[in-house]
Amino acid sequence: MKNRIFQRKLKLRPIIFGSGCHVAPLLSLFQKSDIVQYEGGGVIQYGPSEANLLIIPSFLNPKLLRELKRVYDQMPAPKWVMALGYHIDPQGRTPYGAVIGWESFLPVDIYIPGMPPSAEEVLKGLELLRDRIRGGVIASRTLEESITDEA
Amino acid sequence: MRPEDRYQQKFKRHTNQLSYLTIDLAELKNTLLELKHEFRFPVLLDIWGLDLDEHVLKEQGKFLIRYNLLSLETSERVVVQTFLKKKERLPGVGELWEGAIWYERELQEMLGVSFEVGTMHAPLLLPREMRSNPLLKKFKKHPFPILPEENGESASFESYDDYRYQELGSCHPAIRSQEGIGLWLKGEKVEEVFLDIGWHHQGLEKWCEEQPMSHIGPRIETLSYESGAAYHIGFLKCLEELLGLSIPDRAMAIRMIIQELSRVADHARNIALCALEGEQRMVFERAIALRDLIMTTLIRAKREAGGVILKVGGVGPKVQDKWFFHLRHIVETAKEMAQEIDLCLTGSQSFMKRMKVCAYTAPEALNWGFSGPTLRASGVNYDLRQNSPYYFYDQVPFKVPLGVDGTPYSRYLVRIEEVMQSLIIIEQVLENLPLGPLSTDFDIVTDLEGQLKNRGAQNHYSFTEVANGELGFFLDYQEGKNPYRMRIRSTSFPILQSFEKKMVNHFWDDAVVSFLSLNIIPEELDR
Repeated sequence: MKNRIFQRKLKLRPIIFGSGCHVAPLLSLFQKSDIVQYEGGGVIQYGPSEANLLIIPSFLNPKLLRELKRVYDQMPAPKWVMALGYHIDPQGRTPYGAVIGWESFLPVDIYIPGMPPSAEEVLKGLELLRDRIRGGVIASRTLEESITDEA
Repeated sequence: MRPEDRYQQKFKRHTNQLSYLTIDLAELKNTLLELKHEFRFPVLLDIWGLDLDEHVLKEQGKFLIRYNLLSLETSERVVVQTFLKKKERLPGVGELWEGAIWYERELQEMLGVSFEVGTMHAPLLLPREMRSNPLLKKFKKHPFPILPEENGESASFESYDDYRYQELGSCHPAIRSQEGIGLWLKGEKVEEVFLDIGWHHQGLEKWCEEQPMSHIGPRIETLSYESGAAYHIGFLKCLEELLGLSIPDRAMAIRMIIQELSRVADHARNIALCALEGEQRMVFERAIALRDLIMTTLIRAKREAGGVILKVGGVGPKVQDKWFFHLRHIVETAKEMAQEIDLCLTGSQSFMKRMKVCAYTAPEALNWGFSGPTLRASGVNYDLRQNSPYYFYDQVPFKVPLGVDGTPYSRYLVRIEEVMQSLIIIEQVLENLPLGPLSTDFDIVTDLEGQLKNRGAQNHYSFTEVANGELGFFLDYQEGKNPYRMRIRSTSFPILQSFEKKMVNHFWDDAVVSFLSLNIIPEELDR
């Protein structure tokens, strides 16, 4: 059991959803940063069926949300979601295109605010996420459940 | 005969390159036809409209529709404008310019303009859940009913007989960006193309109406990663011309450097993607290294200047001289890298074979409203930096490369030569960098409202040449701090539009190459 959790900690395989302004710096961050490479094994996946961490870098509009749901459903069982960007602006200055309250469809494990967040903040967020994984916390359901599902 | 003599009082000159022509709705189609054929305005740059609900001219009609036309010979622009009253219908101009169709669809969904019978269009950018027209002044923001439809569309796209449906989006690894592209294939050939855009539509034009003008610039910068700074400069140029500010020489020169740097980075990324598609892995890595080098330089400049390199009235107050010394070495290295890419890729037979597909002729490119490298690759000699120069572009000698046939290969040739020319421009600017202050005394926080009030209600169109073509901003100002309406003339919008009809009867893997070399930026496309 413990062994499995340890394995999972090493095999964090992110997939980055979205494109445009936020994605390019994120991709280079994941490819170059030593912390991600050695501690988390953050090898970027290009298909959802092999990934276990979904990173949502910018805001969502209804059209994109439909696709996001499809990607999320294709990911295998123990999966984590990380959301960055300004779609969680507390003052509500988001444009009309943004969907508010999409968290009810995708349980989000960790939010990183900022427009866009800096590299340090993203790495800090990853550390936090790793702590949560070590503790067996998962937003979609508890880890034990998902393990029994797999078996 | 000139248009002034023909239309007399209806024709008003705004600047020496931009004039307005106000006509009745009944004469609209004939006037556009006349302008296109007799007065030689062959390019339709943009169609857009504004809601006159709170405008000074609100008694004239409900909407004001503007057509932005361009003459290549004199590089003059004429904005044909017409008022549309309630229950009146606008004639479609899809017969004159094929590129008009998407603009008309946008008008219909954003403002609720109705068209004459026979020219009804389906929505383009907005989701199906959206029933109201967001650019109306009465529009109220409300949360979307979020109900992702399960298997709504996919049922109708089942393959039948020997026809096959292939999807190239939205997360397809072959194209690396997000537009829905559906191809109906018969064997290997494309029979029909469906484009589904609007994945990144965020309502930026509406958002700008709700903000003070000082807040808009940094948001514009996020439209593109590589050439974001160039987009910011484009907006600042428009705002400064609206405010009547003249910026110092040194700031102009630094802005030129930043614009050229971002052009190099953008072209390098596009060349890299094309090289990967042509199975030139080594060149791909070289081109990505060039892009990284330039982006690191830009980021370094931003960091050293305390986060601000661009501001209204000039450049950031802390842009340091040591960056320019650093830049000289960078330019030399970048030149070597560009030459290396040129050496490996230009003569490569396999690359040539892969890229010489799907030619765009010059009349086609003009008909769709292309600009920038895609237009020049078809052999049309039109570059804003030479035809209507801004800043110091008229004092810097450089060449404008032209393609022959408009294939992805000639687009690549134009891009790699533009990289070299941009680096030459940067070298020249660095040698003759003028001394003086970095910005004017104008303080955007305190002086904005007073300056705007002094200038009064007005509208202004400004344009710059970015990596992808002509980027235009149209600001309509009435009162207060906010713009009444802001229009972004997107560069990718007319380019992607042509993809729908051009790709028919081509092989589908050629469609991928053609799409990559068109250099579509999804965030900028959807705005």
